[in-house]
Amino acid sequence: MGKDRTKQRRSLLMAAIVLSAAITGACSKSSAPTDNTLRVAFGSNGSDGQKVWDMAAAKFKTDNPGWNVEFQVQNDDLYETVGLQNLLTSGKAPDVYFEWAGARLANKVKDGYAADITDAIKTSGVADEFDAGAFGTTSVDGKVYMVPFTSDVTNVIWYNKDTFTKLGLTPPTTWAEFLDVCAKLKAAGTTPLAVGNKDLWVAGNWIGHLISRSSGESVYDQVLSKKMPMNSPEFVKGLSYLVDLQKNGYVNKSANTIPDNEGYNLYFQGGAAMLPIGSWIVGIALSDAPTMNMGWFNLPAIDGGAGDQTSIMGVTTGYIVNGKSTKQDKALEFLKDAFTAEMVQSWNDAGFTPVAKGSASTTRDALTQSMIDLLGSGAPIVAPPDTGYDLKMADALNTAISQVLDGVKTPQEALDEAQAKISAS
Amino acid sequence: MKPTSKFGVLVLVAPAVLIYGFAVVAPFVGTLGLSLTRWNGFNLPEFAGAANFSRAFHDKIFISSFGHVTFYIVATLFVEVLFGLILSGFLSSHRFMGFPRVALFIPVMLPMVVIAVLWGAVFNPDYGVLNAAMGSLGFEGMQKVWLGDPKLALPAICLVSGWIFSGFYMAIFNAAFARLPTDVIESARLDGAGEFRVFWRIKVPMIRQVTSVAILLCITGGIQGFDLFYVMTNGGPYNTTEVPTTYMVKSVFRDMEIGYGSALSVLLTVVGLVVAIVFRTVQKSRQTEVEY
Repeated sequence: MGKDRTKQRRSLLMAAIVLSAAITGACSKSSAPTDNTLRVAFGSNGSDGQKVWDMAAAKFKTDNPGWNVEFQVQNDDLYETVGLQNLLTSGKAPDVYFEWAGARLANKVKDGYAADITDAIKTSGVADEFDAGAFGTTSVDGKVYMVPFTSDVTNVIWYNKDTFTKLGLTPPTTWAEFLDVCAKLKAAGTTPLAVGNKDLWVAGNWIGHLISRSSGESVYDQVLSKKMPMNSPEFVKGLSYLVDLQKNGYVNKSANTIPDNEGYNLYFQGGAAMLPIGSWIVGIALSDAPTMNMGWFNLPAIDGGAGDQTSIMGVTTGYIVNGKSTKQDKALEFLKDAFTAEMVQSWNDAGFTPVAKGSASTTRDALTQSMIDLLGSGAPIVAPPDTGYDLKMADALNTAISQVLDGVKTPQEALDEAQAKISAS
Repeated sequence: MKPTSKFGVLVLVAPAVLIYGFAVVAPFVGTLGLSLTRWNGFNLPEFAGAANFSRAFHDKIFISSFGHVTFYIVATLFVEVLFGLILSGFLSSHRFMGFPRVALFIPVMLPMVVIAVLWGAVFNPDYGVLNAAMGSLGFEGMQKVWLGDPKLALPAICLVSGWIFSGFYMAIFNAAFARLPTDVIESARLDGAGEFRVFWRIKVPMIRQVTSVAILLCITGGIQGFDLFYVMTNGGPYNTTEVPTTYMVKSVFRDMEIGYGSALSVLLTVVGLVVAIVFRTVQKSRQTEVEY
């Protein structure tokens, strides 16, 4: 009997140990992989973009027998926030991952998640696929940490050519002309500007650009880099230009309540004549409003503004080789395969405009080409608050902009509150 | 059957204890630990002591978020619990009310995100049903930017919440009313009491315990409220509908301040526990009636 009891206890003890081990094992982190799989992470590029990646993966696998490519694809918003972070700290961290140039790239460098590829891009041949100056925005402290993918204009003002023609309007080049165009559109019963600013970045980019034109690029950069207070007189003056638009009702009243895509729809459906947004609207218009006759003009010049009045708001995206990856050579080889001249045409066909050179015969949509030409015009490029700087700084500024856009606070009050928020964090 | 061995009992309860430990205790202890650090999710966490808590106590947005959630809870006590009670009383005293009961319960079964998106479209100032209806009825002056006005956004969310959950509370009260002894109600009617009086003076007092549970559910559910706020306004305009949960999510997932977000979640848990304990204490001190 005593032996049976002992046996029973042992069995129960073993069962408990096995159960505990199973649970703790399930919760433990898997060890770093030492396989022949190259992991590539990015936010969704849509089915057309994925086809191009699949082509690059096929070439890589042909050139590297025994190797596999695994794509870690996430929803865009998830990827930008916590998704990439989780991937990088997981047991199957990506060897190559998508990122935005600017503060986000600098943070990855600081945290050791970006490999210094200054020399490697030359030895691997990746640099051959790009123009010499292409790596300027993907460098930190003179060292290259990112292979550029696209350069996007994040703010110009798109307009409905038919509406402008009907009312005898021409694209304005100065702020005074812009206000005049807005007044004429409103008098004709058309809302001048459509903005979907529920998530704050849309007006944040547009008015951020306006502030940089007024205050100068240096002040803009210093404020958003926390080297100057956000309620500096230069910023207050820059934001005061928005008051002209708000007081006269030139922006849709729903601006702060509708997301960006509803703002696009308002413009596409004729609910507004102009839309301040980036170059990505071209692809959306091609599918959602193919018959719309669209034109664009850069933000009109601010009379007496301290900034370069031809500046462009834009951002470079690209792919980083994980600084902690043991497969950095293979990662660069894969990136070279992804941005060859032949692949650039495939990217264009899929609606992307890679920075890589491409071939002489590369063909693009006229509006897309005009965006590329704008970026190549030599005008200074200003980084948007949300992707170029710390997100908390961007949020403080964007919230202030939304308050002025609704007329609930003066520029001074809104920026004082923004500065208080920054100081408290 | 009596247990023959304490060890055997321990082994048998071990799976439940382990699962509870890993699913509840460990995350809570982990969150508590993280709340004492500065961590962006990449580097090693740095010990920050009580700095995150100190910051939270001075964070105007976080403090005001409790004001917003209090408003939401008080408003939903009326539009969810009280309205659910009235609906239940009305429908239970009339025949052929099966269809309205089902219709009123349907919103409870729909995914919250779907409801939030649909109501977002209703409130849309450019092409929403509400403004369009007002326009066609000649009330153009009353057309509003419903979710963009700091004075209207929070009441609008409360209204949608009431639309969803009044049916839920109605179902709870229906079940409670169905259990009531009919002799008391019949006696009241024979004594000349009208339906209104029977409802407020007889039926409602007799289901006091159920009402208390409904109120507790409404309060604790309100403290945890997230999805409606996140989809309809995401805390906007300018943080005027920010509730602790939306602010917590922004701190962790947008600002990558995992230590600070953890401190906010610890504080929210403490507030929730305090509210529940106070509620239970008050409830127990008044527990003198016969339960049905």
